Amino acid sequence: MKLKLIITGIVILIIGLGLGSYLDEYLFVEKEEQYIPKLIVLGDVENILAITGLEEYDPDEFVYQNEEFLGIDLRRLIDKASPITDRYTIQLMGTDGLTAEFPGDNLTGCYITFTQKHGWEAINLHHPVSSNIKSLQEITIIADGSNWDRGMNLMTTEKNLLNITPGQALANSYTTYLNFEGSVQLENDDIDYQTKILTRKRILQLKDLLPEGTKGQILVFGKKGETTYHQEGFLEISGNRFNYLSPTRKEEIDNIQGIMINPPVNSIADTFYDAEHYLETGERVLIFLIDGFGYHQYTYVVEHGLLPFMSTLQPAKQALSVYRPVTNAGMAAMITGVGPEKNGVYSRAQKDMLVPDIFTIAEKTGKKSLLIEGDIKILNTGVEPILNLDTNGNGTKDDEIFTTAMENLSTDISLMFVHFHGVDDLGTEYGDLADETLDFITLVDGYIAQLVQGWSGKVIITADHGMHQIPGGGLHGVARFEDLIVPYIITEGGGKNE
Amino acid sequence: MRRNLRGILFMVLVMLLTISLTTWAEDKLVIVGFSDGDIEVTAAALKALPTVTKDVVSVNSSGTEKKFSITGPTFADLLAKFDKSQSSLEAIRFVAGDGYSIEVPVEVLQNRQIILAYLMDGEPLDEKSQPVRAVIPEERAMYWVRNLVKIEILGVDEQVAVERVHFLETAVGQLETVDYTYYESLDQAVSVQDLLTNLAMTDDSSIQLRAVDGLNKSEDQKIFSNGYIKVTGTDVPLFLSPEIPKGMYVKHILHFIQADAAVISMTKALEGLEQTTLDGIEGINVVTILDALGVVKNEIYRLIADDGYSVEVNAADLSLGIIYLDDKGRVRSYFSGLPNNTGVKGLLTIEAVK
Repeated sequence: MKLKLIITGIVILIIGLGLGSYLDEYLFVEKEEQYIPKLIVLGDVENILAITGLEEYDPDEFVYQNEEFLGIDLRRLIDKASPITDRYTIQLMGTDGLTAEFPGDNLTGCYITFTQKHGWEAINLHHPVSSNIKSLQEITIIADGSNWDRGMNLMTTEKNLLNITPGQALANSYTTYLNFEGSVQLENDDIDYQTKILTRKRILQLKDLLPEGTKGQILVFGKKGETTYHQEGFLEISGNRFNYLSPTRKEEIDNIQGIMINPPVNSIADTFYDAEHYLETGERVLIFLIDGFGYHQYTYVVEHGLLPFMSTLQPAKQALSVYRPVTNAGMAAMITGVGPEKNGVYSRAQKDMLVPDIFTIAEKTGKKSLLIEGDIKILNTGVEPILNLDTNGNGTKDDEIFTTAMENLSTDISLMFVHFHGVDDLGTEYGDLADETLDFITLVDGYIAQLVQGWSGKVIITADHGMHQIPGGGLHGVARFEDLIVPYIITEGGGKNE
Repeated sequence: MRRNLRGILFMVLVMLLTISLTTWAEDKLVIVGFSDGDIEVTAAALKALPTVTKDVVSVNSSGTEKKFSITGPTFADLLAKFDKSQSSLEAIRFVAGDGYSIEVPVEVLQNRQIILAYLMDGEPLDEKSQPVRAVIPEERAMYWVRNLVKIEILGVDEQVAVERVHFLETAVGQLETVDYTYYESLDQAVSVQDLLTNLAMTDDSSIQLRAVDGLNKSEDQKIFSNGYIKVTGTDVPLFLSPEIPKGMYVKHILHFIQADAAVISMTKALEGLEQTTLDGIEGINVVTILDALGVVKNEIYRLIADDGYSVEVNAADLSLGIIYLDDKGRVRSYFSGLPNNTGVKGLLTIEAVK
């Protein structure tokens, strides 16, 4: 009986194993994973896409030459990459270099599909058949026209020379350069197997972008305020950005925003050194920050007789602001003497500085300082600002700021920092050279005249950044000469020149 | 049967011991190639160093990116423990336990942080990666060597020893000064190019400046030689130039060094170095000055005056001497108990005699 049971059990086990093996082989077998090369969407887009399967993009069914396909709607794909401009051109490039280019405004019937035979393939139902690219490798989005607020800008201190975007650079001629990354070796059976590792980079030579005969230094701005001075170099086109490579390719700045040819020696950071010098020599120092007052606005109002007081002083020097030319970063450079790389303030998001400011330095030597601000605190400074609200409701705080400053002129303050905001406010609303803005510059000039008249000591007049015209108003925060070059004046209290 | 059992037990013990010894032997990192001997660091010692935790992205040969959080000490901190610096290295080679190796070039050593990671995503490394994995954020994964067991030092930028010290005040006295407007003051300055030429400092290496407040700054030779040293008025000696931003100026220079030569301001040395009084004369001991500048140790030193007069002094006698400024502001030496001819007026240079 027992033996019967054992035999039955063994038989059931054998049958079970056999069935399991069959099921495993025929029912539960997984499909072998298929290699799908990456299809890259790059150029003038916010997001670079690396597509490795149709399923990720909710494909549609379509019929082409009586055959059914599954494909990604090209419009939807590009929208996901988020082009930086509304109008753009598309380049479809295959692995063999064959490229089709067409405008991005009518993409009805454009699909990207994947087949075993052709890999990634562009099928455009309504475009000429030659726009269909097999073995598709890259989709490049190329912004139409100039995009001074988005691309990489090349400029002098008085002119914006060239705007170029990564997509535009990819759509034109560039050099492919093999960059030596390193050499590795592996020892096997007493033999060293050596391999060189190289990366293929797409580069533009800076000298090809510079005006003929350009001499002197160039200043490169990175997105986080990094800067480097050189005389030449390369731009690497990297997906949706440019990186700067120094001539020896040893130094690199990622995601550069602008390049200035022959930048001025003076910078808004001089405010710190000049104030420090005068405080050390026992002088009182009054600093004016005219928010958003660019050098081009200064020359315009001087030429048009709209700057009665400041135009009687020595002509302002051109001074370099910082990237990003916004109030936090500019003011931080003014009061610390160093740029965003060292003080840590490179956008509107940072308030804390990594190095001591001029107020802290003054305090250490027993000198009292005062910061007269608008209605909000811009930075966490060494001295608490006196905030001013628009109490009379006339639409600006600058009259209240002026009054507070006047009240403190004859106190025992050694360092007074007055921040006027109205030029930036009106310039943003109406434009950098709009009548409203220019009238307000004249008004601030009058405030400054009275304060300088009543001040005994040195006076520094400058700005955190400038601004430029856009349709319907003004803007700043961009690598353009109008935003980056500001006036810088040193004068004597009582109106006496330096 | 019992004998066999004992034999098996003995074999097992021997195996366990071998395994543990092997593990112990591999559980360390060796740094070879320094002139003063190799450095061996155990995994435990590495873990005792200050650590950094960083989110990093590795890019492999196919361009695939992987994100990690890594924890470990930096190579720079490890070297600092042995009084060495990463920035002085010209090249190193990472060697893995399986024979893989890669040379890390000077531009990576100068610009990147190297982390000797022992945790990845908060977990200990897998067996194949232990004891540490070298990670260089922002460099490709080929530098991220697993199972790092050896680092070969392939070149060290040995700092050239200082062999001669020039006194700024005397050197400036031999040059023509130019007018230099500094704020509201019309001061006098000398061209750095003239100064360096006069002192035969023709090297093209960078210049290390030190201010009396402790500020250290390295300056490119070309920028430095195109500038001026202001010698009258405020903030002197002051390196400046109309061509450079004010942030690059160096006030109150104590000394600057280029290759084997140093230039020191006696005026600032009297503020920044320890003063001493010798036979009623206040100044700075010669040894204090030479040590502050890292002057090479020799048996004999030569003191040279601005008129060409020179005298040699034995190293053993240096501590008997002081350097001081006389009533007319001239740099002078005085040695207690040595012949009067060691008292040099208008002292320009002290050099180690080869």
